[in-house]
Amino acid sequence: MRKPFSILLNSKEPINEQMLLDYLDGKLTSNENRLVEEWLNNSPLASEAIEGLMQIREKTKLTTAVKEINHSLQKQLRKKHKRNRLLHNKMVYWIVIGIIVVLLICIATFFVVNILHRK
Amino acid sequence: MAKKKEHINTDEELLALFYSSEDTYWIGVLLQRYTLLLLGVCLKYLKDMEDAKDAVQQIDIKIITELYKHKVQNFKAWLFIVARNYCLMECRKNRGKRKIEITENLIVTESDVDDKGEQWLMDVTQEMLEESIMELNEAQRKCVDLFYLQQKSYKDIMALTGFDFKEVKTHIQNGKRNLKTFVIQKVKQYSNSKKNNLNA
Repeated sequence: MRKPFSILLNSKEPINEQMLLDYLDGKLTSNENRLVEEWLNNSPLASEAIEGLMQIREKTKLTTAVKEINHSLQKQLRKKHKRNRLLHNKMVYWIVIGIIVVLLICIATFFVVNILHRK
Repeated sequence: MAKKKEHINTDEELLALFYSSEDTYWIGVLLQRYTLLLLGVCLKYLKDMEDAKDAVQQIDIKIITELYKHKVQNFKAWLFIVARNYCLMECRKNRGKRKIEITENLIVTESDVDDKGEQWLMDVTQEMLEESIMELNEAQRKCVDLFYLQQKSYKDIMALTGFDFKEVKTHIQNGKRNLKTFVIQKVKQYSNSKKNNLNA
């Protein structure tokens, strides 16, 4: 029998995707099953997810769906990255323009003051 | 920046890297860890694979946008709340087409998602725990006892009690949550009486 205090502790054992899929397929040993089940008891996200995942009989459908979602996520992130870089480049461009304008104003002021001084 | 850091394994580390570099690569790594779970949550509420896939993609977009705006501390808990709210909203939109299943699990308390500060455990006695187990309702007591004390799997518990998977899971989770509440109450009472004795 296990020490009763363990009920009050939360298992921090992370469960990876493959282990969860194997659990759904009934491929795990009883010790591994317990690890997954303890994790389910402690994680509201996993606990709700397992109910949804159990609705799908063909587990290959799940792996395919995950691959598709991850692929589209990568695309989305690449787009966002490009947009950020463009925004950054635009900002750098306007900063350089600003500096040039300020320099030109300084030079022009210098010449105007010089000419006025000579007169 | 060396992006293929294999030793980075916590969500907090990935979030810190994202906030310091604003590089979306790190959000990608983080979100991909949760794709299967998000898909599961969406399947639970939306009941359809295509709808669930679309929902996960929408949730991903929402997360990416929100991460730029807010500094998130507990990513997993926050992700769960965002995902569930999104699914409930989708269900509400399609009210009539789908029946929303409201279970006790829909109520997520802070203690479910944040398990810091277990200092109170130091004062828990065997007696308190045994008393608290007895205060649980019969189904919860049976499932908690079989799972935690007798080390049975969900499958064994299903066979022994006649409950289905979802019922076993719910009884264990709710039993554990109630048990924690009862034990914390007892620890508080115990420490109060200890203080009173010292004052007297």
